[in-house]
Amino acid sequence: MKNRTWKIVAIILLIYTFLGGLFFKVPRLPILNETIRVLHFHVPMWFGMIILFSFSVFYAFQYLKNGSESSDICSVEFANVGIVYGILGLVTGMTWANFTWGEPWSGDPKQNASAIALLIYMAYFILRGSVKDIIKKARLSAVYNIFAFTIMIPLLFILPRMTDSLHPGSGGNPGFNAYDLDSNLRLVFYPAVIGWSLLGIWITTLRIRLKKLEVHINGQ
Amino acid sequence: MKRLIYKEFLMDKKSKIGMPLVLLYLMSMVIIFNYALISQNNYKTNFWHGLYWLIVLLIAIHSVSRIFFQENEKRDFYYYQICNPQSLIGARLIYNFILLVLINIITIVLFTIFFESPIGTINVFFAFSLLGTFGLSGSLTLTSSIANKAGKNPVLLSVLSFPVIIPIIILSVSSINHLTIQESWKDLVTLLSIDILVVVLSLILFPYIWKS
Repeated sequence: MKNRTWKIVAIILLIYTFLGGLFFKVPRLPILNETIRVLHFHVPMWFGMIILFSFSVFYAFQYLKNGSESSDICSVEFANVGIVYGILGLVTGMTWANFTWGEPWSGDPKQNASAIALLIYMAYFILRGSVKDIIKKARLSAVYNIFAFTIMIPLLFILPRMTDSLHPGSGGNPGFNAYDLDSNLRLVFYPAVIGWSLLGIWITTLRIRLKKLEVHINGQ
Repeated sequence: MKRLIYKEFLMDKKSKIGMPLVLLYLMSMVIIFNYALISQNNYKTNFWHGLYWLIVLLIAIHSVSRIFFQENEKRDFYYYQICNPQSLIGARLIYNFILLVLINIITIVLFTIFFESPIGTINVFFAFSLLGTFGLSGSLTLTSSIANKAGKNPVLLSVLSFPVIIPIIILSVSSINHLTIQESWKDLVTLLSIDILVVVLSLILFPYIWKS
């Protein structure tokens, strides 16, 4: 990428997130106390995951439309990094839950739904691994990608809201939407989301370039 | 398209062990579950819904994969030439749905015999059961067509379809919490929308799978 400013922006935002997240004043609520700082690290992981998976689906559509191998590579690498973000999100969530809810895994619907979403995408990679022919592999994985994404969206957003959940925003808890978030937190939260997402995209573009080089070398 | 459904039925009948195999599998599973849980208290009523859906799910995967594995490439090529993919997958969907509904009914009968039936309201149970089966058949049809193209591996089919089936199962098992149709409207609608989503996705995506 010739234009490097967005990467520098990503770094600056992330440094700001880390410093601000750890040093700024946060409102103290019962149970949560200072652990609310994890908000800046946990939620952006999920935002990042959704954004990366959206890019992955977009490239899957592109592949089905014009069959170019580069779309397929982009689709896979976005899914790859998306899964990493998802795992990180789960781990940060479990660490946070350990301190606030008492146990890392409490069978909360949103936790379960996110674990299932990760399972779906891991099945995506198993599918890719089990097909040898490149074109068939690409087409099948593009189809499954679209299928998985469309199932994941209701799974992650609709189902947990309908049931009682420990997570904020569902089952009678106050939510994390724009009206409920303290403005001090918001100062660090929004840049955090942007920063982590940009980092994810940067990692993915690096992996895509690496993969394309590999394919190029292997092809010749 | 009616002819296609009829063709599917004929093909299943042709392999002589088709339906009886599934029935035998079903019966043995119910009996095994009976004996496996016999030491628990109240095993007859406590686990009913969960066991029921577990068995339906396993049998469904087994039977749907069996159907797809009977396809072979030359016949596929022939189909490619004479009918459009939408009607093919539509026929498969409908046939799978009918098959799974039959399996459902038989499972209900078997379960009522072996375990006491704690079904509160028949209407609610049947509504959830029907919608759940519809969702199962839709997602299984799509994933088995993917797995079919990807090397006819039955384990792959299970792996691919389980995460998709989990929300369907969650919603179907929640029928235990409701007594009237009015109460359970929200869950039914969600289940229905997931079903429609899956079917529409299958119809849209199948032509791409079919192309190779």
